[in-house]
Amino acid sequence: MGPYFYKLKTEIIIGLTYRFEVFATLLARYVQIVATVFLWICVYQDRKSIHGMTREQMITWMILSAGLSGLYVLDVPSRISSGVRMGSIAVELIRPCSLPGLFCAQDIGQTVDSFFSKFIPIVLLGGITFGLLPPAGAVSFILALISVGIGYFILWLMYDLVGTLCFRTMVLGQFDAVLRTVIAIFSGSMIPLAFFPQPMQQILAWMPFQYTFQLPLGLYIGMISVREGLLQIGIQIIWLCILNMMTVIVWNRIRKYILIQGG
Amino acid sequence: MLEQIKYYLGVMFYNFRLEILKELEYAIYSIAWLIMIPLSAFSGYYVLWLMTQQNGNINGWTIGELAFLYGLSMFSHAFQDMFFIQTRFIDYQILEGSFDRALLRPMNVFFQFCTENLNICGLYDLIPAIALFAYGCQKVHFVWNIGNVLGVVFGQRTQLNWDLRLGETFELLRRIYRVPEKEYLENVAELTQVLGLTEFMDKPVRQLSLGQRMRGEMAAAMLHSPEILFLDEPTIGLDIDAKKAVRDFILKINRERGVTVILTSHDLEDVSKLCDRLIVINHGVVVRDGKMDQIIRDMAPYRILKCETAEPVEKIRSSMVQLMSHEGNHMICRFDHHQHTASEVIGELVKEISILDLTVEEPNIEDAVMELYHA
Repeated sequence: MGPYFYKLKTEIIIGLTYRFEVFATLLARYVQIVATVFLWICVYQDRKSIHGMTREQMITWMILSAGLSGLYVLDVPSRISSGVRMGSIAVELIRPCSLPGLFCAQDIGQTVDSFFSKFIPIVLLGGITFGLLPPAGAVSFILALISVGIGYFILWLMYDLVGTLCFRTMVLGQFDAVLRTVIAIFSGSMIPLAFFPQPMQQILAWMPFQYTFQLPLGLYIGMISVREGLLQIGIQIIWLCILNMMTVIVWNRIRKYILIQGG
Repeated sequence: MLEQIKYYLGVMFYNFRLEILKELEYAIYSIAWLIMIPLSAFSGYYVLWLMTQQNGNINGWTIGELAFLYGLSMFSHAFQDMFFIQTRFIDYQILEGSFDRALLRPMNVFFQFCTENLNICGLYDLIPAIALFAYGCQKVHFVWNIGNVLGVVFGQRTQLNWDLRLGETFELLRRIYRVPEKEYLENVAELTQVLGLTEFMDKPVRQLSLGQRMRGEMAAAMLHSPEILFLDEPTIGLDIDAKKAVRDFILKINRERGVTVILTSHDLEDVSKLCDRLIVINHGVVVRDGKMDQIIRDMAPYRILKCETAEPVEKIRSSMVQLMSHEGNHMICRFDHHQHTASEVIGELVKEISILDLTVEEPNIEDAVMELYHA
């Protein structure tokens, strides 16, 4: 585990050196919160609840969602693409530790940094401005924390899979941005999934997206009960295993492919 | 004035052409944007649509009116993305130091900044923009009733475009420095031949080796026949072949075209083979400045005499030479060639030792420079 923890540590130190970027992100996220919350306030007008969610729950949802978007660092596609473009990936692949493992350590390191530098200030600012509800219950809160952790790895594996496209296409283009958009809309980050038409919700239930934002946020505000939450965390773990298997297969093929090209 | 406009437009359009070629080089990149931009815009609109499902409007704004506004803002976004996308990368430009390049070119810096990168992907913004705006117009029943002298090579910072072929970068530089077609073709032909560019002229720069790229950089710097050429460590990291090509080239342009070359180098072979005048700088202070052979003569006044003798020698009585080292039948000594000629010295030595073979060596520049630094 040595090299991975070292990578993780260096990323935290690098993060600390770029203070300005922190303020820029903070401002951008705050504007995002203000814009979405005002929109939702207009939507609610004099309604008490929409799709079983009160106005306060919706505001809490939007603030935490902006916080989580700031928290998650998923730079693996650009790490792979710059490695492929500059040709350094071949050298990195023959090092005696797992390259995706190192990439993951870097992203986790930055995520740890952004927890303090982004997540906490974003949630504090949003909470002070618009009011933040406490978690629905202690058990719900713990389950929400667990699902945030697993959700992060689901997201990371999806980004990693998209990143590996690089080996075929040389450049990534904006496939990671395509993924980001798809995740934003289908994960419940932009709008709770309850607002989607019924058939769409049924399709989404068979996809991994909602296990990244919808599940932890739903648990926090109490829209998902503890019982249902446990069941969904089970599904989350299944998705984690499936995606992990896929990435292992893909990276093994890449290793062979690169060796052939290099030899 | 008119000519100025023509010049600027010429450079701009050629730059745009290169951007389009670059875009075609990475078709997959374009396709990804083509999916991403409309997807992102339409999903944003879709979320708005979902939000209006409750009341049929948001604070009185109907979905049609929102489409109108959304489409309109996408138009300005498209315009901004096409021409001013550079502003997003200004921090990288400062970090990499690519601004130096813009400052040294005989063109308005802001103009260069804006036209350097035409983002064709901005056009894709027009897809959702037109679609949503048209839909919005229809919904709100909108009524239409308004009627250069310097050439620069930076060691690692390239002025060659990473993604394009060498020839294409040259063509762009021709336009920037306003090199007449005839002169340009002659220059390219000559540079291609001297630097041996033929084999990789049509390869994208990213596929070139460091040596090939350096030769490309040299050619790029010489295209507009500058009078002075600044080279910062031109041979660093190059293989023997490439080093020789670069050195021969520098000598050739200096002799034949009368180009003044100012180069910095840690490689003293560069210095001894290329320079007439040497300026030695130590910790930012000029230690010596003068003709190179003069400096060498002053700093290393000795010549080295290597002899093979019939018998081992341990001591020399003559005051002309100093014995520096001896081992078996070989000895190395030095003498001051300002005071004595080599033949005088050898004449003296022969009187006391029987010499089988000897060589006299020039002092070398490394010794001279060492002396300077340690003085």
